[in-house]
Amino acid sequence: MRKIISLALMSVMALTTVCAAGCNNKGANDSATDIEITFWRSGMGDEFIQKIEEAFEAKYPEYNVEITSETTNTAIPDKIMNGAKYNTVDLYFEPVPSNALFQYLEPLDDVLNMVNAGESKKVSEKISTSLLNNYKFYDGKYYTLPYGGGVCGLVYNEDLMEGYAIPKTTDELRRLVMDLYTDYNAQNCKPFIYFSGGYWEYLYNTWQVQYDGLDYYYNTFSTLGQEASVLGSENEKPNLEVLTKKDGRYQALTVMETLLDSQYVVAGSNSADHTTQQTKFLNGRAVMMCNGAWMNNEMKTSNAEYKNFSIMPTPVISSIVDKLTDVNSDSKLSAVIDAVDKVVDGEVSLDDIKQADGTYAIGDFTICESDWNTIYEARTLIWENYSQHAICIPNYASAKEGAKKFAAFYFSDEAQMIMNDKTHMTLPLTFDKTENAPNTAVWSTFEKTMSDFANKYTTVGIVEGRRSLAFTRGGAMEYGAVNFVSAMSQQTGAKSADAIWGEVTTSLNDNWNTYLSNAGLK
Amino acid sequence: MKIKFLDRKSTAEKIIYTIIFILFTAFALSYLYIFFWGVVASLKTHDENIMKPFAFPEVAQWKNFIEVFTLFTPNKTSFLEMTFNSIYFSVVPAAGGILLCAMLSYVTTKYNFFGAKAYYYVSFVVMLLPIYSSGGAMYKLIYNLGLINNYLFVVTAFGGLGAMYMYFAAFFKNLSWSYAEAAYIDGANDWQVFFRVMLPQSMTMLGALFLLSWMGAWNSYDAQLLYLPKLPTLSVGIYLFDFDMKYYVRRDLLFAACMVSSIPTLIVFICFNNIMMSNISLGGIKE
Repeated sequence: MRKIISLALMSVMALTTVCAAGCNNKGANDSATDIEITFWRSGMGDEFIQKIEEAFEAKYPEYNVEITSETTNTAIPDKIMNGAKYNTVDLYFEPVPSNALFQYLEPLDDVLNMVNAGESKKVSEKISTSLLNNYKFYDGKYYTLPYGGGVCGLVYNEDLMEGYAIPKTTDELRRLVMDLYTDYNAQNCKPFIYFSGGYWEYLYNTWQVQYDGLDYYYNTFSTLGQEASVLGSENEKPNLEVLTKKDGRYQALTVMETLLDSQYVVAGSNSADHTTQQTKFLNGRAVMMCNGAWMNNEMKTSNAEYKNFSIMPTPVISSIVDKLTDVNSDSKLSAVIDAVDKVVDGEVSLDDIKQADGTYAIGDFTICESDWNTIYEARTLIWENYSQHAICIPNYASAKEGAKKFAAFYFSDEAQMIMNDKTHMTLPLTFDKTENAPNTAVWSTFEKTMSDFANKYTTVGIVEGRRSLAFTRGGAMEYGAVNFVSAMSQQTGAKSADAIWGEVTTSLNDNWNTYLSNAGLK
Repeated sequence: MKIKFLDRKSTAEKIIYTIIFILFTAFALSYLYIFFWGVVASLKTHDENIMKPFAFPEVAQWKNFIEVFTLFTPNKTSFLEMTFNSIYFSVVPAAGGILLCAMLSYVTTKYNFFGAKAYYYVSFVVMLLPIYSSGGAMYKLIYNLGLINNYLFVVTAFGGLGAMYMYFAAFFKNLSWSYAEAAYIDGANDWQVFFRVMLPQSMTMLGALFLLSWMGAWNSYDAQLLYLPKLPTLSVGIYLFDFDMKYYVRRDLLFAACMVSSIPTLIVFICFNNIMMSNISLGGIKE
C-alpha cells in the first residue's frame, strides 16, 4: 500500500514539474495584433461569436483573437476603469456598462464609417436608423454599438390563447387577463409569470412612449429639456420639471396597477430566476410572460418539447384617447389599431382608408390625420433591448485598431449570417446583398415573428442614459429609486399607481441636487 | 436491536441518550438527504427539476453523467482538464505548504538563532489578520508577479505561516530533542535528522493536516475564480456552470456535475476519516 501511495505521489509531483515547466502567463496578450475580447454569454449563447472569430481570423490572419465568455458582468465597469495597467481587454461585447463610463470608451464613429471587404455599404448604412439613434450619446458620438438582444413584449402560449382575441389596447388586455384567470385558475395556470419584475420594463416603457410620443421621448424627456444637449453642450442645466411631470410614466403605472394583482401572477414570481420562470411558462403554468427574442435560443438547451408560443404587438395604452380628437372610446381605438395592422401588414392600402379631405375612414366613422398618425406611431412601436447589448472599446486598448476592425466585421454579411444561423435572431439591419438575409423557413413561429417585428416596427429603447448628463453621469432614473413592480404586486399592502407616483416624484425631488452634483452641473 | 451501552444506564439517562441519538440521527439524515436529493435530481430532466423538484424521475437520465464529460465545459475547459486542475491545485499546495510549515516550525522551535521566536509571533499575528482587507493588494501583487492564470500560482500556498505552522510548532516544541541527539551520535546530519527521525514522528498529524488541507483546496473556488479564471478547477467549473444556468438551462447537468465532483472527497473521507477525526481537533480536545 505504501509503495502505491508513494508511486501515486511521485507521479503527481512529476506531472506538476512538467506542467510548471511548460506553463506561461495566459492572461495578457498586450500587443496591437492580439485582440482580447470579453463576451457576455447571455441567452444568445456564445457559439456564434466563436464562429465569427474564426471567420475574422481567416480573413485577417495578421490578428490573433482571444475570446473569454462570461455570464456575470458586474465587475465590467470596475475593470474598464482600472485602466491599461490592469485591464488588457481590447473589446467588450457586454450589457451597456454604466453610462458614466463613456469617458473611458473609444468613440466608434470610425467603425460606423468602415466598409467591410467585398461590400459597398458603410456599417452605418446597414444598421436600422431608429436603432442607431438609440445609441447616440449626448455629445453626438457613438461609444457603443449593438451586437445582440432583440425586440421584446408580451410572449404568449398559443395553445392556451386559442379562442381568445389578441388584445390591441390595454383595456382589452385587462379584460383578457380577467377572463384567463376565470378560465384557467382551477388548472393551476395564471395569466402572468415573471421574474422579479425585470422584464415588465419592456411593457411599461413602451406605454410611456406610446402616450408621450416618440418626439417628446427622444427630444424632451430623454434630454430633460436640454435642447442643445445632444449637440454636446455641458453648460445647459437639465430640467427637473420634465423629470417630475405627470407624463406617460404615470399612465403606464395606472395600467400596471390593473395587471399586477397578485392573483394574476404565478406564486413565487418575485423570487425565482428567469430561466425557472421561463421553464414554468413553457410548461403551461402561465399564459403570458414579458420576454424577448432570445427566449427560444435560451430555452432550447433543455431539449424539452415545449408548447407553441409567440409574441403579440404591444397593446396600445388606452388612455391615449385623452390626447386624440376623434377617437374617444376604447372600441374606436381598437378599430383604428385594427386598420393600422392591416396597413402595416399590406392587407389594405393606406389609400383605401385615407379620404380626399385628409380624414381616415375606419369602418363607420372617420378620424383626423393627427389621430391616425398618433395611433399609427403608438401601434408600430416595439421595445428593444439591443441597446442594452453593447460593443465597446476602452480608449486605452492596445489593439484598438484591430478591435475596431473586428467590430466592423461583426456587421458584415458574413458575420451576420453566422449569427442568424446559430441563434435564429436578427439585428435590425439590411444586408449588403439581399440574398444574404436569413432564410427563416426553418425558424419557429416565435423566431419568425420576432424577426418580423424587428424589421417592420420602430424599435425604441432606453436612451435617456445617453442623452442627458443628469442621467449619464448624475445617476438619475426615470422612476427614481422606486421598485414599483414589487410594490404593486404584493399579496398584502400592494401600492396604487398614485401612491407609487408620489414616491417617484419625492425620490426625484430629494435626489435632484445629487444628480446635478454627480453630473458636475452644480 | 438492543443498544449495549444503554444497558448500564439509568432510565432517565436512557431517555436522554435515546433523544440525543434520535436528534443526531435526524441531523445525519438531513445531510444524507441532501446528497440523496442531489443524486435523484441529477437523474431527472431539467424540466422535471423545475416542475416537480421533489419527485422521482419518470425515466432515469443516466446520460446526464455521460454528458457531464462532454457538455460541462465552462470557459471552454473540459471536465478532464478541470479534474487535472483540481488535482494539481489541491495536491501540490497542500503537500508543499505542509512540508514547508513542518520544516519552518522545526527550525524555529528546535534551533536557536536570531528571529526564531519572532517568526513564531509573526505567524501568530498574521493568522489573526483579516484576509479580505488585503485582497486588493494581494491581487495586484499576484498580477505583477505574472501569476494570474499561471500554474506557478501554487507557490503562493508555500507561505509557511498560519494555523499549519502553529500545529507543527506545538508538536515539535513538545518533541524531545533526545531523538535528534541519538541520531547525531549515530552520524546523521541535520537533514537526515529532520527527514528520517523527527518528521516521521509527526506523520499521523501531517497526514491528517494534508487531508484537511487537500479537501479545503479541492472544494475552494474563491481564490481560483479570482486568480485562475482560465484554469478552472472542478469547483470553479460548477460555480461557473451555476452562473451559466442564467442562460443555459441544464439544471440536471449541474446536479450531475456536483455529484461526480464530490466522489473523490467522498472516497478520501471514507478511507481516511479515522485519521482526520482522531488526530486534529480545532476545538482543543484531542482524542
